[in-house]
Amino acid sequence: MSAEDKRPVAIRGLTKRYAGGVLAVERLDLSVEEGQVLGLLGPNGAGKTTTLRMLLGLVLPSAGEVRIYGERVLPGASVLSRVGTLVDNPGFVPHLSGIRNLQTFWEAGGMAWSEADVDAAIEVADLGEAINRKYRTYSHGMRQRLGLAQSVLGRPSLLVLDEPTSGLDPHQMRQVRAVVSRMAAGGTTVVLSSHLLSEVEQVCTHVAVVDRGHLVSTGPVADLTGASRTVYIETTDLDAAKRVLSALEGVTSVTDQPPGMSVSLKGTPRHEVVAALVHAGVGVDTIHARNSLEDAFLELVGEASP
Amino acid sequence: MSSTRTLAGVELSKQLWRLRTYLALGVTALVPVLITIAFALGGTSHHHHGHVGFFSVATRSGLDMPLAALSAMEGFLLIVVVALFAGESVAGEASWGTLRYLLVRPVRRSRLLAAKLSVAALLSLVATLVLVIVALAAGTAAFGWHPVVTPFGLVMPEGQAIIRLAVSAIYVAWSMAGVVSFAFLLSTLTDSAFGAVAGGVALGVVSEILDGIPAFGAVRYGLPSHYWQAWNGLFVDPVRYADMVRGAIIQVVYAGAFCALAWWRFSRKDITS
Repeated sequence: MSAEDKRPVAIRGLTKRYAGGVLAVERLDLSVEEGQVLGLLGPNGAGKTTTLRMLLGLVLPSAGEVRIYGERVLPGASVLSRVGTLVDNPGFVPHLSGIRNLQTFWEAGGMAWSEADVDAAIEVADLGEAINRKYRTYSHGMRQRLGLAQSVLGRPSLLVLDEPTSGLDPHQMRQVRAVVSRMAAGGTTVVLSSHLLSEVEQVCTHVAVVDRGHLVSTGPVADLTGASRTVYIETTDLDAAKRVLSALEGVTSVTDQPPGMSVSLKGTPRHEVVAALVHAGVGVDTIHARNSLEDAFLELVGEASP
Repeated sequence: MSSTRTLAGVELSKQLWRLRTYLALGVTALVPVLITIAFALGGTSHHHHGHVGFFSVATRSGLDMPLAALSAMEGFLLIVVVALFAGESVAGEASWGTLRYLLVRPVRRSRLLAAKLSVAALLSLVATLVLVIVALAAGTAAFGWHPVVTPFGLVMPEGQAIIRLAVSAIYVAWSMAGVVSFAFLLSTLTDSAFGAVAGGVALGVVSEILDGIPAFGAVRYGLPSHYWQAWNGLFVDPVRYADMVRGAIIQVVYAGAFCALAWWRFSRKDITS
């Protein structure tokens, strides 16, 4: 088998038409390489959850196939032993404690509890003594952390997370992202879905934009944002700055945005813009990238609209 | 601890950590005790008016009490208990949100179903045995250890009676197979555990109602509940096995059909819960 066939995720022609005729995903091709953190980005209802559920063998494709490390994913495929997951919300048995829930989940996969690398999972859960309390007593944040702990049991090679930060407060979101980054740093390949652009920009190396069941764009996050970039600039002399920028190649538009201005760049690095301004005797007070992925995203999803 | 547990073992321990399991078994144990107390307080008269079947002889011997309890509870309470175990098994996981986490493991769906069904069947068998054993203990405490007097006028020595009682218990447990597998089928189809349990109970109750209407004629012989009382044939002379055999076969047919449907449907099901 060639290296290409052994990729963590290889999706070909994936299509899902639910009973009732709803076409959730259509002819989706996507691959994820070793060590990538791929964000599946799209508005609600774009087919992200259906795609991830097909990736895990929960939903059966109408056409096409999913392979994980070269093995075709069917319900109960043996390669699923290398996958950790948090789908939608955490799901646990209410009358069992957190730790017993983790053990029940692990052993139901036919694997020995001693091989689950429990300590690492307990660290992720960060529940202290509460790990021995019944799950039904947990708060929303505690439940989410236990779900995340469950997903890292047994040090999976591939982590699949569906909207891992949905419904969390900013502090909890940061904890979740920290866990994802830590797993990625340890060599785990991660696929996560999100409708939060900032989240994908922060934690992902790669992004796949989906809309209405179609893959709209895929590639490194930097490439996608680099395609179209808007910066916000505040200077000491607005009029002089505008004159300099208008003459600069690679600047496509300059719009007033008091007290500064919004500048769209095509291919020109930010430092060159700053250099040009300073060279012309204009002081630069502030320069920062605006929601760049958001712009790119809206551009892409907008293009796909009829 | 480095050993792996079987899937059925994991499933069983999940049920054994549940209060509900003990409540269901507790009610199954409580009712025979209540019946025994009622009969003990009701005096020593051997001819209670209005009592039929094994109730008419329930105070003759402690060995009569489990037979009376089986007759009384088989038609409804036992149905509810076994439908509870089977109907909750898969749909309960769906409503907890744990079903998808059972199915993202490297375990075939059919293996999961087999583990779930065997645990539900085991608990149903245990419920039947609890009923019989508690009734036997309570009856013996209240009315002593004597030869069984059957409502059909037969007197049977203790040793023979206890063996026939054991066979009756196994027969009654197996008679629940249709209800168990129907509730289990519903459990794989719906995310509502309550719906699956209620459906199982409904199958048993509707079957009993139809069975009581002579106008249905020969159709009644094919109903899952028609031969539920056929174990009474063990307490007549000569012993009548034929209806027990028919009853056992009917359960094989129902259980086989419902289980096959459950397996077929569940292996193709999109898990969206």
